[in-house]
Amino acid sequence: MNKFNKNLSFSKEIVRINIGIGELDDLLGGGLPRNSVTLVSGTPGSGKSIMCFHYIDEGLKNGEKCLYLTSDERIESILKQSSELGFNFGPAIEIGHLKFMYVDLDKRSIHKEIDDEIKNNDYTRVVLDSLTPIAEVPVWLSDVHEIAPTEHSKMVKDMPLGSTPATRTHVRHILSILSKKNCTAIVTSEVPEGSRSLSRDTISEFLVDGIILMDLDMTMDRRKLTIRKMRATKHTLKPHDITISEGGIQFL
Amino acid sequence: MQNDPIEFILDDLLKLDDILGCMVASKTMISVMPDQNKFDPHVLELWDIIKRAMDDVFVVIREYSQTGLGEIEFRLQDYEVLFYILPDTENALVSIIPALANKGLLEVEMENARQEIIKIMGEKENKRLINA
Repeated sequence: MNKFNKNLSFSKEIVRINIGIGELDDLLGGGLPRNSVTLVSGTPGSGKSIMCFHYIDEGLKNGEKCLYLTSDERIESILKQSSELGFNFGPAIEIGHLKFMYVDLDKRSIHKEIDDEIKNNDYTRVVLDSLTPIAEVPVWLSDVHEIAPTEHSKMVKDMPLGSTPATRTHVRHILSILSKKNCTAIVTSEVPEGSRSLSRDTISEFLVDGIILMDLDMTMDRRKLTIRKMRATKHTLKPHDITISEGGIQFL
Repeated sequence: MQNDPIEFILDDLLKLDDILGCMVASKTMISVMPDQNKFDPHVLELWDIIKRAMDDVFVVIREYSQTGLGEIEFRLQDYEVLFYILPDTENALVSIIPALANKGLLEVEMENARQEIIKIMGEKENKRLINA
């Protein structure tokens, strides 16, 4: 029994990556586990992108190299939104510490483009904002190749478009790319208003290492943040009151 | 949340003997809830099942709030759960009381609390409009 215990490494210290929101980092025992992928999910306007801004901003303060992948919004619009909240990413972009990359969903090489960018650079922080439209794009994976399905594709019979196995394979591959090398990633996912799901695809929540849920009650003008899951981390499941103002997310 | 006027209202409700727990909630979120340690311990033991039943009631509230639905209540084991809907919203003031409680006074207190909450929300909205 002792011999068995010796081989287990439960005590191995986990390196934590600060998100940049003091209270949240404290709740997570210091931050996100290194090389993990965390899903930040919530309804539109709940503060998912702002969480990403904090994460990137903290990385830049530490002198880290960061990548922000966007599939929904134009880069100019993200920079404008972040600047209004007090995040000034301009200088970091100029010196090459931060790259915003638009993931063109019309192209059939989504995985390869992201993979190449991460492989060829020394990013430590990656944000994918958001996973939802990418997960919905019909891309087939065969080994390392991406295949756009046609009516005659053999795989369409095995994994019909939009089927759980097809989406799972696609999402799992994206998430594995994001945590390559020394990267620690945050991905956002939209959930429809009134839904109790943790992602639009209802699959990614099972594939990620952590889930942070952002809730919004417009009637009562309340926002809540809940850590639903975080690998190798003891954390409370209690929702926390937050507010969003200049400077980003603040705990109340 | 510190100095939250709606939480003060809920705290006052909780001081009544037969209010075992209370909150302002919607289907997706409990927006304001007093310290759960102030809830009756028996309610906390049954919290999971009460919460699930509440979620189902909020589906009905969501559907019929706009048509003037005012109150809903259901009985679960030894408890009753009262929903006082905030007009035209998906939110409700929710209280858990003993099934055999005398509801006369409680209904008055619940209605007063609902009106106070509506007033606070109205003032907040007005302030926001002025600042916009």
